[in-house]
Amino acid sequence: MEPAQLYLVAIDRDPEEAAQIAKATAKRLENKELILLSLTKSLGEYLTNDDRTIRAKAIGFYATVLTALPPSLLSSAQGTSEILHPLEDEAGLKEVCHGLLAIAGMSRFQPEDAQMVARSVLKSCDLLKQPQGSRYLVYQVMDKILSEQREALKRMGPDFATGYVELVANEKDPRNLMIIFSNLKVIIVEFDIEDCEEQVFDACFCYFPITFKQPPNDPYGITAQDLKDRLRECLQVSSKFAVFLFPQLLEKLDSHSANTKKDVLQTITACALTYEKSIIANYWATLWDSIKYEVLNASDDDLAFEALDAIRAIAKSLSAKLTTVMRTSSLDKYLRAVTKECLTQLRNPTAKQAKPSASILSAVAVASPVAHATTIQAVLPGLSTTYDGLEEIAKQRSMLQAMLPLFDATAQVYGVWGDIEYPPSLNNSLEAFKDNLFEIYSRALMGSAKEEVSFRLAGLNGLTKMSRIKNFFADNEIGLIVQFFDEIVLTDEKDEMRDAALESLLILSRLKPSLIMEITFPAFMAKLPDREEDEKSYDMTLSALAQLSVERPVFQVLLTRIFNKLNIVLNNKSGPGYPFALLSSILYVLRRKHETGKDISTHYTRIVPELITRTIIPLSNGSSGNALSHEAVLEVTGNIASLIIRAMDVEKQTEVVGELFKIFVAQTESAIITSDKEIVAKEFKPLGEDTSLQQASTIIIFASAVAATRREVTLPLDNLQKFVEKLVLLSRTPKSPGHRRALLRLIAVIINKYFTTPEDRAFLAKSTDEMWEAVKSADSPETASSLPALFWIAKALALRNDKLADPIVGRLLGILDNKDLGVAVGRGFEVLLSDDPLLSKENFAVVRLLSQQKLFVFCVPKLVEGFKAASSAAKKNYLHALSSIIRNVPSKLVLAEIDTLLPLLLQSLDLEDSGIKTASIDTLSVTVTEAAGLVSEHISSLITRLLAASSPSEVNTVKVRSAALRCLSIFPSALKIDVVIPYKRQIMRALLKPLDDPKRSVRKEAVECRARWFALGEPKEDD
Amino acid sequence: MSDIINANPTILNPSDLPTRSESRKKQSSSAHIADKISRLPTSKSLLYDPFSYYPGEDSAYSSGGSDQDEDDDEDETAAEDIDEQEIYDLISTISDPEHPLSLGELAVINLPHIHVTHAPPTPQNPHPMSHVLVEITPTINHCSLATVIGLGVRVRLEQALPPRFRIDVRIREGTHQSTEQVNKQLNDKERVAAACENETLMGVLSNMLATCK
Repeated sequence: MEPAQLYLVAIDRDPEEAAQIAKATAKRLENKELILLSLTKSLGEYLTNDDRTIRAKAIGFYATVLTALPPSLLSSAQGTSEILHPLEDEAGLKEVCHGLLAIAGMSRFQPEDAQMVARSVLKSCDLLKQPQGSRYLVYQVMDKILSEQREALKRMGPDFATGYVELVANEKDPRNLMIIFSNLKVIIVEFDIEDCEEQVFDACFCYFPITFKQPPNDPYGITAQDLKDRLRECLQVSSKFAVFLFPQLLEKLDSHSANTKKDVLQTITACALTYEKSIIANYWATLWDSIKYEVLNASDDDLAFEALDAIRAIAKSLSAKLTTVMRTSSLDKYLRAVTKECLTQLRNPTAKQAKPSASILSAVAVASPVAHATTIQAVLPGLSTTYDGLEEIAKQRSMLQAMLPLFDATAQVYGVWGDIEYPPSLNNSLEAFKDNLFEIYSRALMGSAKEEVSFRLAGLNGLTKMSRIKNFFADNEIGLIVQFFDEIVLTDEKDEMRDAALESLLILSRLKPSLIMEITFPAFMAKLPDREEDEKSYDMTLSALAQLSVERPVFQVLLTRIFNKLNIVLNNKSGPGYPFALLSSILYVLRRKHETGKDISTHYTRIVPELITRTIIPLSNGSSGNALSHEAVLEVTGNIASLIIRAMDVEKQTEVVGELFKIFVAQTESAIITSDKEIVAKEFKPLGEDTSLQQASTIIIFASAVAATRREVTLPLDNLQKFVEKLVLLSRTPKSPGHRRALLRLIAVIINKYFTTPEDRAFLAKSTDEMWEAVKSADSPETASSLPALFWIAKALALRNDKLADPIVGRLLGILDNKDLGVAVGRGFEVLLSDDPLLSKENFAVVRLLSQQKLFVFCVPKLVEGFKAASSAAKKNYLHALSSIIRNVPSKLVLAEIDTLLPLLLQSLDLEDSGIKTASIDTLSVTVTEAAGLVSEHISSLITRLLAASSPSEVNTVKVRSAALRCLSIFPSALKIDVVIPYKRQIMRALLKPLDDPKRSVRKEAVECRARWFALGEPKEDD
Repeated sequence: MSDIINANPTILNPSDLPTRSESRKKQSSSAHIADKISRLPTSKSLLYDPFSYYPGEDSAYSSGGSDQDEDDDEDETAAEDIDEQEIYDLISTISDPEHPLSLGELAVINLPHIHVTHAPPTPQNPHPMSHVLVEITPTINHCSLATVIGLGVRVRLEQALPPRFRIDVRIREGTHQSTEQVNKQLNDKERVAAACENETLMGVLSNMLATCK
């Protein structure tokens, strides 16, 4: 059988096999075993068959063969005519197109062939009858020949363009339109369409505006934006379209649809930026007349924004090639119209149109240096005169605010301090008004009544914005402004003013750090007292200093000054509060630096040895130390050390940790101690059993520092197990709770990071077994002294999903009902799941994904079961443990188990423990929204308990009451109306009492809650 | 309400409205940082250790590393009376029926025009009656919406104040051409009750009250 015949037989039964047949045929052609002529001959009878499906299949075969041929094989005329012949035949359109695509890709496809194909396609297709898939192929063929043989098509003259436009008329399919738009763009740009411009334009513009909405699950993934972008490219690509486009666009701008308006404005912007300047010069007047309306009377910020873009684009286009202000230029005419209009509006600066007018002015001012100069020269004299004539402060304020965008525009054109780009060659026109502006904005800020906050803010903003502009104010002028701001930060009674002034100083600290260091720092430091006083005397100043010191040179100055101050304060026998604040401000800056991606490890030398030495030396002299050895201050010092060490690499960390171990463990001389090394080595024994409380407490610093080490760092000890044993032993007889917590954290950190070998784990199993034996037989929390260590070890292990944690936690759960230890164990669960600042991922601890979830899943069933069996006295231990766990896991986890937990949560509301109560109510609040159905079943008892919790008592603290009211206020919106409405009267009545709560914050919640329930409407009478 | 009665009222800037000054830590970011830097942790949270618990102590949930709650260690016992600022906060956020602005911003409600009086509590009567007088200033003196605004204020206060408060809402002397008439309407219990039965009116009111914070 002939291959054609074989193919026709196979195609319906097995397309795969048919494809194989065609491929084999192609191979034979390639190997010259077959010539094309005989193939076409053999197809002949099918191609003329009366049955159109057979005709189509035959062409399909032919096309498949052609596609499989290497592109260089066929000589030109071969095949083309055969395949084109049946183009009038609608049956095989798809197959014909496949064939054409194959032929057009052949290297010997000739210009004449291309013209022939184009003519046939354009002539013979009534495309709208075809399904969109077939049309797609036709467009692809056109696309292909347009890219392969563009010159040949151009030679066809306007026929091609008009033909194409007719071909694609009324096409609506987005995928097809994507091809059409890109082809049209080629035609517009490269073809001679002078005679049919309007026709081509209409072919594009008839799609404007695109209203297509992408259907869900759209297989082609074409968005409305894709279509808009392609269409816009067609419209903007030729200036010749302006004559048709702009009038029609402006007509469409009257549309009520925001979408259409937005599209119109974006198109105008795009065209203004690409059309020739001479064209825009013809149209700016009509464009401006319509577009300004969209800004001045905007109801929609988004649209106003687009309109401003368009106004700016026109100015940009008209600025082309201009280097100086020219009175006769089209730009000048345009800007004269714009500025005149805006100036008129701004005469009454409180009117609605004033602010939009100011936006317009700044929009044109950023278009180019010349536009900036023209605008500034045109408006500033007028604005200043108007300002001088204003009497009401509200109007003056609005005027000052209206000029602010112009300063931003100037900064955009002329750059801000520190910019490395060259400024425009044209002089900054704003300079002529510099003194006047400085004067009126300064007067507004410093010379008006303190109550005029928004007026003063306008002054402050103006000065800030002008100070930013490069080469505008001289340094002494900015220095004066910095002094104004300093004064406000230090003395103003309005928070808003202080915050804004500080914000401005922050901006200036980046642009002009030297001025901040020279002016602000001395002024602020002078405000800091030399001895501890009421905290108000230094907190705001320190806060301001800390915020200003993120830049490196400024921070260096801050460090010097703070350390000096610290010396003075300590010499004056300060309490811990002030030194705490001084160090906290250093910590704050380090954190900020770290957050903004700066390397803070380089600050080690300046800070860490200094602080550790200052803390330890007094303790080594046999005294009980100074304020630096207060636990709160030790925590800050530890945090500072931890943060800096964390940022170091392995090598540097190894070195620092080595030194730290010398001080705290080995008691040898260390390089960290900057003076009296020998005394420290001799006298400082924080891990000694008979050491003082103050020396022992410094372990807080040590634990924080060691916790920050990377896992690759080897701790400088021969026997880590022995060291942990020693720490556990110390933790059983702590000098203070803080001391114990530091020891336990240190144990947990070491175990979590370093106890990974089988030997280490065997050691842990053995020692926790021993601890458990001791705990189990204890008869009071005091004698069960290993209990805390057990919890912390379990925590360290659980975090890395270590199975060793399970037996420990299991045993602890088992003694919740123990009458001597149950209470302590219940509280211990707070440790288990809470986030610990030292044992964290940032500190390189092993924190496995889902470790909390695992622990939660492990504990909850045991807790629920134990709770049911427990004596009534022990029940609250279970609730305490449960509450600690729930507070520390994502609410999603809790919700998964809420069926079993809800009864326990409800009972926990009856406990006499504010903490548990608040936690349970918070969980319930999530539950109400997330598990409304379940809550509905318990609604009655829930409402009773929440109302009870909202009345003041020893247990129902402000937090409990607020939480209860907040929870109640969720009900009306979260639950079904017929579930809640029966309770409305009860609740409205009961809430009258919290309306009279002694605490304002509770009353506020009550008012809100009552309003929500009130809004429910009336219950039906028969309810 | 198709015709706007006062199309161009004077507007106060939100930052110029009176607020309770003690809430500074909530308003100002800088003050918040100041607080963080200088607030020495209370010994309670610093020394807090679940393993050294003494019965009777608050279990100090605010410790344990979460610093978000640390700043409201409020004094549990000190009572805070309902004062003028609190009344102002309740009603200044009501929306004007014809502008998308609050009564505070339009200076219809002003702090100096609110008066709260508490009778001293006696052993026989620990919760004596209190009285609140709110004088509203219409934006223009022929404002026909003054009654509606007054009613809105009244309804809001009735919902938000405990029953021991007597509420008096009046038009400020000399700010409206028919002050007396409006005042009569606003303080006549039966007329107010009748107004609250009117569904259209209640619709307007609930829109006004929807913005209350």
